[in-house]
Amino acid sequence: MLTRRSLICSASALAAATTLPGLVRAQNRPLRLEITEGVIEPLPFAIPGFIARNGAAADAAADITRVIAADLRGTGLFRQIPDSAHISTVTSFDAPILYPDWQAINAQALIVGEVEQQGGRLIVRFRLFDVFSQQPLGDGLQFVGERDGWRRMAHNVADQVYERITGETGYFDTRVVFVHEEGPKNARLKRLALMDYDGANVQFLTDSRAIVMAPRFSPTGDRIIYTSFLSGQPRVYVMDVASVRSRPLEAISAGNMTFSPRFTADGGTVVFSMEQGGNTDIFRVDVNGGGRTQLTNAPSIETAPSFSPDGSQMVFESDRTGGQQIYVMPAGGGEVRRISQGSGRYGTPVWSPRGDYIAFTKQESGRFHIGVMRTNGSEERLLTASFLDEGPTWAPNGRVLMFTRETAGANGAPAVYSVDISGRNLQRVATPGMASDPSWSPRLP
Amino acid sequence: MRRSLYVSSAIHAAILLWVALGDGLFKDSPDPVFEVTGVTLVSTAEFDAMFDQAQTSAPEAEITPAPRPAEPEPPAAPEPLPEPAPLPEPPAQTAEAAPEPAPQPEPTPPGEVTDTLAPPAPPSGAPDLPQTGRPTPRPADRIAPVPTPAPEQDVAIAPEATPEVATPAPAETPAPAEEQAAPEEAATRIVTEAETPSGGPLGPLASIRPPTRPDPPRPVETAAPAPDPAPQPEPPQSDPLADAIALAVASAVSTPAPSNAPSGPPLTAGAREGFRVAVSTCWNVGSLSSEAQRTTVIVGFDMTREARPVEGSLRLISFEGGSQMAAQQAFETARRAILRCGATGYGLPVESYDHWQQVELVFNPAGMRLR
Repeated sequence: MLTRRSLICSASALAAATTLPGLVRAQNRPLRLEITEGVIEPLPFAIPGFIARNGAAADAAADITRVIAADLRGTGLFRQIPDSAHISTVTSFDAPILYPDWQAINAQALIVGEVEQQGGRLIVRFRLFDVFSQQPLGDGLQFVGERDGWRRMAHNVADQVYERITGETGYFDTRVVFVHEEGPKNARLKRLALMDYDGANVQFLTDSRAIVMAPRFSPTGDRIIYTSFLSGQPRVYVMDVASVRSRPLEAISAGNMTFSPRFTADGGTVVFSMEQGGNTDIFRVDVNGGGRTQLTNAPSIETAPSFSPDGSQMVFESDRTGGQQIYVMPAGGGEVRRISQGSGRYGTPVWSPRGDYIAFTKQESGRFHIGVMRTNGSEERLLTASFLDEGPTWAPNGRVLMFTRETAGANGAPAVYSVDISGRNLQRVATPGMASDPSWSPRLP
Repeated sequence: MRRSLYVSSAIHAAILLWVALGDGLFKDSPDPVFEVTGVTLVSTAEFDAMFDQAQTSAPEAEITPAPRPAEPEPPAAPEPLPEPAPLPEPPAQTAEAAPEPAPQPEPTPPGEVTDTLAPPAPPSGAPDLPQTGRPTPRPADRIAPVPTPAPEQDVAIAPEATPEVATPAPAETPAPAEEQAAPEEAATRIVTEAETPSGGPLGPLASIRPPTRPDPPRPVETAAPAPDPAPQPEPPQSDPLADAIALAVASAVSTPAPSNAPSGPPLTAGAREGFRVAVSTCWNVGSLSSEAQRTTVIVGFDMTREARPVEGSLRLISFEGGSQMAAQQAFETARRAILRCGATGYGLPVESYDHWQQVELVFNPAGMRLR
């Protein structure tokens, strides 16, 4: 009996000893909740007109403010609060921020800046504030440049704002090379053109004497490789952007059709497709000529190669199984692995600069799509759908795609569009006419 | 043969002696005494007159308590009476009609229950109930009014003489504890409840206040023990099991009680859900990077009694699934959400403030990215 009572007592005591402190601690715990659902909507921001430190900078200040706002709005991630809704007016770059005034209009980010012109140079300063946290987001920055480079300075400011809020690298200070098209559909004239990512500062790189297609930037952005029919048949050319001079790739037999070129990840070599005796395979050559290597060898059409950012793998399209599908193989050659598993035809794969996705064109049921998938073919998502969407190219941050969309009918015309990899924010890029085959440059140095 | 004769003779002699002398030893029960009551014959008219008179005086009969139940009167007339005379109520009901006891303190309404602790209980431990409501003891004569003298204390006689112990004895020998005993409630006559002098209800008028929660034990002071001048070896009489139990209990209760232990009712599920939804509506993950959208952050902060987040208290407690930079982006987005939607307060019940004074929110965007 004594033993039993002792056991009961000891059990009770031990239970109290173990649970009582736990209960006390449990009462002291803060309230913990898990938030799993949020909203996806543009972040409202306010950007009062940049202050002109002197009269000569007045126009530049207004223009820079406008470009910054347009850059941010164009991402679809930000919503500008119109100036008419502002309560406070910023009269000095160093004036304290009246946060309640900006909170009242629900501005979550506030961009304040000033522009000063000294001779032929502009000085642009800006600060970014988190309105509800009532503290600056990062340090203030100052950009100095030529008067004519005010757009790039504005893009740089927008890049900084974008990076500080989203955590992604910006893509505003970039350019796009594309094919400018003119004339009727049966007698189309095509020229290489270069523009800012937002369609400004268009420059033509070639004339209309020959059809050009598939331009691609080098990883450093200083060269462009493209296909031209200047010699009467398609052939790969390399252009130096600074001098706008082109030359055909050496080590390629003049009698063979070469097309669909692309730089490798290091920019030192080029891969392209070449037709030989009715069969098309992928080859690699040194960008300065020589060292030709055949990467694929199959009695089918292999084309549209693209390298992973680390240069270890190559993705391409092939009809070796009958239908047009996407395959991955080691960069130096080896086992080929099909990654596209869905129905329809897949083509023009492009490896993301971040290495996490592969963008592609898909044709199914008479419609074209731009989509993305993981590098192993999983998580395929179609981002667009239209009569003809093709030729995706990645923004340098790997978050936005640009592609060609052509309308149907005899009067159908190509245009360049952009879309977020989430499928949101589909926008047409402003071009001075018909445009196709865009290729996004890396960020400018 | 002769022995049987002797036995039979002795028995018969005994019977004869019992019959002859038994009348003196046994006493007959007294004859019942019959009380004779005088009866007067009345006529019908006289009875009606008496009945009318009884009706007019009936209210007085209700107020005046009758000492004993009225005996049923024999029906004086065969015809039914138009209105039966109200009979005097039984004594128990009459007792209820007695004057009400002294007014009792009204119980605290349930809605006004506060967390204020009750004052400390008196040392005697007696409940602090009002004494006016208690029925006073009945004055009744005891059967033995003269108290019996206390019996002499039993002294155990040891078989051998025990030598005197050297330890000093206490100055005063404590009196032996006597068990408290109530006086014997016996009387020389039966006392009914109707004759309760106080007239108050016999049941408890109020529940006994529960004893207050004992103060948390103070932590054992760990002052340097004074060296024993003369340590005496104690016999190892400690029970290991008892020591273990005591140690476990001591470690449990010696845990320092938090001074800010939560009080008040905990948050209801609805309030928690409302709080969660309120933050969710401001949590904008659209501007987050892909990596930040894969990062779960835990944000801690304090709140004012108005359920507004204290701006300077927001902090990143931990993160998972992304780099430090992605976590910082995710944290800033979460902080923005907390501050923006909490600018006017989250509308949490202030009585539960202790339960939401400190908050940790887990922002998990797993279900939000790239849908």
